[in-house]
Amino acid sequence: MLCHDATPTVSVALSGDTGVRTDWLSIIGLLIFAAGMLSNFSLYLKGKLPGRPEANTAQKIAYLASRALGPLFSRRVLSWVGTAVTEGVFLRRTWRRGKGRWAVHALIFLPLLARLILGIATWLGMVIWPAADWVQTLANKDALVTAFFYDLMTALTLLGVLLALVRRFIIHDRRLPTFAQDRIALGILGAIILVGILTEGIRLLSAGTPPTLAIHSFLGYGTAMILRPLDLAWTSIYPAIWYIHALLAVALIAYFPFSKFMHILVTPLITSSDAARKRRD
Amino acid sequence: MLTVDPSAFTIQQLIELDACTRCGECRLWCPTFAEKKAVEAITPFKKIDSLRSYLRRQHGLLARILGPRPVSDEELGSYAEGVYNCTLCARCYEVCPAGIDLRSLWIAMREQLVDLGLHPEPMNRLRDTVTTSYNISGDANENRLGWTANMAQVPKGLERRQGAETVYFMGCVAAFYPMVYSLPQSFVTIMSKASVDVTTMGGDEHCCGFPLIIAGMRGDAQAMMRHNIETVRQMGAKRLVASCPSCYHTWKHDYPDCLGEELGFQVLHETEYLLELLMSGRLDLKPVDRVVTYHDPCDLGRNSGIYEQPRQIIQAIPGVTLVEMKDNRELALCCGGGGDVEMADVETAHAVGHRRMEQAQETGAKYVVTACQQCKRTLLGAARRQKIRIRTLDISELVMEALK
Repeated sequence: MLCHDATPTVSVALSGDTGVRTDWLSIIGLLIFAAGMLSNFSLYLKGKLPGRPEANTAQKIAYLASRALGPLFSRRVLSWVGTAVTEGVFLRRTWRRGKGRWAVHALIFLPLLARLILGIATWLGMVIWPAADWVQTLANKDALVTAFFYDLMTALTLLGVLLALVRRFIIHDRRLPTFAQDRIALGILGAIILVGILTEGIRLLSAGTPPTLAIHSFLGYGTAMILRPLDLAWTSIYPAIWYIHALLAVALIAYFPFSKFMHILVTPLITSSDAARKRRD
Repeated sequence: MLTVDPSAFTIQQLIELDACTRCGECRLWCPTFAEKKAVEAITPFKKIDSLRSYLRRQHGLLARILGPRPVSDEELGSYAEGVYNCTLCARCYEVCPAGIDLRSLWIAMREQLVDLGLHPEPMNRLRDTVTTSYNISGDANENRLGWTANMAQVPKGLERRQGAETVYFMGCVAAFYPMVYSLPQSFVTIMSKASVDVTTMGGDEHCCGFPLIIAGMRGDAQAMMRHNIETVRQMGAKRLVASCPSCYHTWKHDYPDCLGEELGFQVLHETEYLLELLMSGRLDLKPVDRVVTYHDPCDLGRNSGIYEQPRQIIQAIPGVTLVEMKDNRELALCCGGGGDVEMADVETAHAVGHRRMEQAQETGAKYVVTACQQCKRTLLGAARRQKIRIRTLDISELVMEALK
């Protein structure tokens, strides 16, 4: 769901059952996420409006809505979109402060964003135009473009996480004090990626995907090549490893509102708003 | 149990707490942390982390379910130390990849600490002095023009002259600290030479309120702010010129906010006005053989965006060579005199000033030019303590030396 299309349902092959049923762990994870986000939002609403300390909640919500959506309906929309993209997505301020640091951050953030966008497009396509060729291609994990794209994005993210680990724990960059939540964040992210690669490798083995197709998913294929000599019951293992991967993703989603991951949502807003203010000044 | 109240902050500030990416860039650039590396609480990073943690503990999801958890006195004490060991130089804002408006956030934190009674004791004395004497030194306010006493020729009409076009806002430091008397003396002499119709508010000039605003006591500054605005309006001036960047910043930004309306007259910093006079040919300058470096005052540069005007003035003086310090313009190092740190922790303030003078020394310049009375006073002190043979001048003094 986070990085590719998925739904809060799960095949029950694990229990020997057939069919599909609701995955309550995913639902619980999503509920924790929703509760955390609501709690954060209600904390924000306890703040005051500049110059209007007496404003009530409705006025505050109206203010936030006008700040967030106002530019979309103004003549400055193109300028606002440009600022949002350069500041919020491509992180111009980080680039100005250091190319190396920008690269590490971009390697983690941009591939995840690209995967998220493609995941949403696939999900929407499945809902609206399920029979369309492009939707079928995106939904097919063995399709050349899809397999290669997802694995390339995974490889880039993994590289970013590894570089982040090197900066924190090997080079000991003096900018970066590391506390528990930094370790947890990097740990969950790293575990999702590594288990994801393992899942893809086992999927290729369990499905018996021919090498001519499997090779497009180059990380998964490489993993499959390493695992193949173990000669295990891959079709039985696959659902379990898939579920572990899903659980890790759910853990990340549940942890999101309480962690440094919140910056993924709010920093682009603040950066864009700051850049727009500077331009006005 | 002390409650950390989120309503002390704006909605944007509460969102900004979550926008901090914990990248730690601010740690590299914080001038006070550079001098007190053992005190992590000083870093912008840690201040945000602490406040976010307190708010979550008392207003977050778990607090709603299980009840709020207390924040210990030790935690709040350490947090308060960090918040008041900040010169408000805003270098952290300049380097923050998230673009968080950190200076405003630090002031909001101070306001909350004042509400909780956790601010340093010297801030109470500051409040008492300023609100009773109307200046930061505690001297009799009617002596604001004391600096004119040893001038060879005092321009006429300096004492609250009705109908003058320009009001010169002296600022408390220039008016009451003899080591920087030369600054207002130079400024009014230049105005006289340029035939500018200038006056002052005399003893009716009250502190602009800046020291109280940054101490977290904005409410106590309101009456003085309103008094100053009304006085200038009554005098019918077209413009107000301040040589103190902090006064300038307060007049330019806080006063309209305080009133909720436009002031009705122009507010300029001395560098803006001097450049205007130079460009219009109202000042004739002779060559002066000097190698100088320029120190950007935080409230003029980063906080008001004025970087080029002072440099243009310096470069307009024939014979003057300007060499830049390692940290200049947006990344200029603070002189240590900001944020009321001198009152909370004088040693740290001095250490920051020493480092800045070392940077000046590295340039090989014999003069540090600045455009702020407080920076001049702080850098002068640093040079004396370190026995560095560099003269510190305000830009008005340099222009005065070059006047034909």
